[in-house]
Amino acid sequence: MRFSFALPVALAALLVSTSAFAHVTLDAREAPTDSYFKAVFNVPHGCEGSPTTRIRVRIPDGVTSVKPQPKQGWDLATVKRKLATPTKGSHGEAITEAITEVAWSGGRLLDEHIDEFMMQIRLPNAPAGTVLYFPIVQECEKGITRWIEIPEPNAKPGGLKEPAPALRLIAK
Amino acid sequence: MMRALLTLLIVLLCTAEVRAHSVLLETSPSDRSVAQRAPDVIVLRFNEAVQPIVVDVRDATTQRMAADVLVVDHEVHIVPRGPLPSGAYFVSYRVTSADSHPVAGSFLFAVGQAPAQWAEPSLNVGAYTVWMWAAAINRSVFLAAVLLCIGGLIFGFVVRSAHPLRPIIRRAAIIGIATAIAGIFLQGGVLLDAADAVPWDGAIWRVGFDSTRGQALLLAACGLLLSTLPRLPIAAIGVFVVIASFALSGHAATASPDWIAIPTLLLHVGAVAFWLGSFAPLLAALPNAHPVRLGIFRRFSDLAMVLVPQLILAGIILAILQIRTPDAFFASTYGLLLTLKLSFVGLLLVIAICNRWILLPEMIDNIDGHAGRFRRAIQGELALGFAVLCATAFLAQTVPPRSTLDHETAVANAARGAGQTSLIVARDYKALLAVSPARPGRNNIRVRILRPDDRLIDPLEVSIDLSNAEAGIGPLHRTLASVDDGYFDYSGPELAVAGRWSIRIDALIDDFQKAIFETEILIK
Repeated sequence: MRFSFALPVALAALLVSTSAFAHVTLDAREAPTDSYFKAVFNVPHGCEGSPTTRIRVRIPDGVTSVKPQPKQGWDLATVKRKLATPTKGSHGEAITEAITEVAWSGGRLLDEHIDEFMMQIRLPNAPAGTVLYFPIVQECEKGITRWIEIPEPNAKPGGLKEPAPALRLIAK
Repeated sequence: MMRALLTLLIVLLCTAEVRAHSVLLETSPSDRSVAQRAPDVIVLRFNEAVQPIVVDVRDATTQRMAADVLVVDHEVHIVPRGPLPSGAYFVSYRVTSADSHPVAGSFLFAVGQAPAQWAEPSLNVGAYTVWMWAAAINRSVFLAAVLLCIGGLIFGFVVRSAHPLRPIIRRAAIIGIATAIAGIFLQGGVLLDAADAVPWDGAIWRVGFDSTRGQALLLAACGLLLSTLPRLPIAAIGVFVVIASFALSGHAATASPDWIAIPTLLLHVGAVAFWLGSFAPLLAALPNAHPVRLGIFRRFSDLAMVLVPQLILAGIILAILQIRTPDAFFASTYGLLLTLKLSFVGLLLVIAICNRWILLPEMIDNIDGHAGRFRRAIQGELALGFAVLCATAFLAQTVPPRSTLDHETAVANAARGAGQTSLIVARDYKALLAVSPARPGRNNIRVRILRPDDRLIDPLEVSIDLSNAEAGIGPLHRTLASVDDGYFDYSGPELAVAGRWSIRIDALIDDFQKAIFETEILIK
C-alpha cells in the first residue's frame, strides 16, 4: 500500500514541478471569491536564455485593492485607471480608481535562477467557477516573452504556447 | 487517501498546461539561408537537452532524404547519407524536453543557388538567371511574331482587305506558336530555376503550364493557330483570343485596380499590334507602289493618328500603375528598362511624325524619287519597334516597384478568384486571411484584424505558423510586415507543396492582449 502511494505522489510532484519550470505561473490555481488573496507569480527562466529585467502584470477587471510587494533590487511601479462606476471597499470607503498594471523593473534575474513576484489583491465577488487571467509581459535583456494567451472557450488544455497565469474562483 | 491522491493526479494531468520551454536557439544552415555546398551535417541547437521524436529533411517535393539523427549535448545533428543535391529543403523537428512535452518547428534552406521563389520582392533584381535571359529573348521573338501576325491581319481587316502577305503572316504565326510553347517551358524553368534542364523534363513543363504566364501563352498559341485559318471570321476570333491572352498574366495585367489595368492593357496591345504589325505590309506594298495604292499609306497614316495617341496614353496609364512612387521608379532596374523602352518609343514617334508630315506628302508628289527614303524610314521604324519589344520582354522578367506593395497584387488576385481567403472568428476579434495565388511555390499571405463590429484595428505584431501535417512540414514561424491600411503581409516560398496547410495567426492587439486564430487552407 505504501508503495502504490508513493508513485502517484511522485508523479504529481513531478508534474507540478515541471509545470512550474515551463511557464510563468501563479502559485495557486484557485482561491475563494470575494476575498483577499496573495498572488505569487513564479518566474522560472528568462527569455530564451536571456536574463529577465522587467515583469509587468496586468490586473484583471473586478480586482480592487492591489498591494504589490517591493523587491530588493527592483523598482516598483503601478498604472492606475479611473473606474467608470465607483465601488465600495471592504470598509465601506468609495473606490474610484483601480490599479491595472504592476511592474517590477531594473532587476536582473538570470535564466538559471528563479524568483517570485508577489502582490496582495482583493478578488471580485464573482460566481464560483469564474476564471481570472493575469497576462504577464516578461522583458529580458534580449527579447520579450508575453505570457498573455487566454484559451478559447471549450478549447482543450495545453494548446497554448505562452498561457497567461489563471486563477479559478471557488465558493467561499 | 489513495483515492484522493489519484484524483489529485488526474486533476493535475488534465489541467497541467505543461509545455516545455525548449527553444530552438540556432540552426546551421540557418532558416532561409543558401548554402553554396551541400552541408555534411545539419545542426539544431536547443536551450536544453532534447530527445528527438521526428526529425527529418525533405526536399522541395517533400520527399524525405535519407539521413541519420544524432543527439550531441543540447544539439540534434542530422547527417544526410549522401550529399544533398541543389535545391530547397525543409527541416522539420518534433522533440521532447525533460518534461516529455513535444516541441515542434520547421525551417528551410537551399543548397546551391537560391530558388527563384525565394527572391524577396526588391527594386533591383541584380542578376538575371540564364532562364530569365532565355525567357526574355524568346519572348522578344514571340512578341514580334505575334504583332507581325495579328497586326498584319488587323491591317488586312481595316486598311486593305487583300494583301500579298498571307505567307508572311502564316510564318509569323508558326514562329509565334513555337515561341509560345518554348515560353511555357522557359517559364517553368524561371519559376523552378532548375539546373541541368532538358526539354523532356516533365516537372518544368508542369510548372510552366500551371503558371498564369504558361496559360496565357497556351491561349495565345491557340489564337495564333486560329488566325492562320483562311476564313476571315475565324481569323478575327483568333486575333481577339491572342489579344485577350495578354490580360491573363504579367505585371500590367495584375496591377490594381484591374478594371483600369486590363482594358487599358488590351487597348495597348491592340493598338501596338496595329501600329508595329502594319510596317511589314507597308514595306511589302512599297515596291509596286503606284499612285492608286498610295491610298494604303494615307489610310494607315490617318488610322495611326487616332490609335498612336491612345497607345501612348494607355502606356502611360499602365506605367503609372507600376511605378506609384517616382523615386523608387528611377532607382529600379524596372524603371531603367521602362525608360529605355520609352526612349525607343520616342524615337519611333519622331520617325512616324516625319513620315506623316514630310516623307509621305513628298512620296505622293513623286513616287520614284522618294520611295527609297520611305522604305528606309519604315525599316528604321521596324528595327526600333523590335527594340521596344525586347525592352518589353525584359520588363516582363523584372520585378516592378509596385511589387513592394505586394498585397495589392494579392487583392487583385483575390478579386479575380485566384488565391484563397477566409474569415476566422476568435473570442474577441476576427481575422481576414488571404493567401494568393494559393498554389505551390511563392505565396503572399495577408492578414487584417477586425473587431466584432468589423472596425479595422492595427495590432502591434502579427505572426503566423504554417504547417502541413501530411507532408510532415512545420510549423514554420513567420512574422508579417505591417503595411499601410492595417494590412499585415508576408511573401515567401513556405507553402511549397500542394495540400492542406494549417495556419495559426497570432495577433498582438496590445501589450497584454493576443488574439489567436486557427484555420486551414488548401494549396493546389
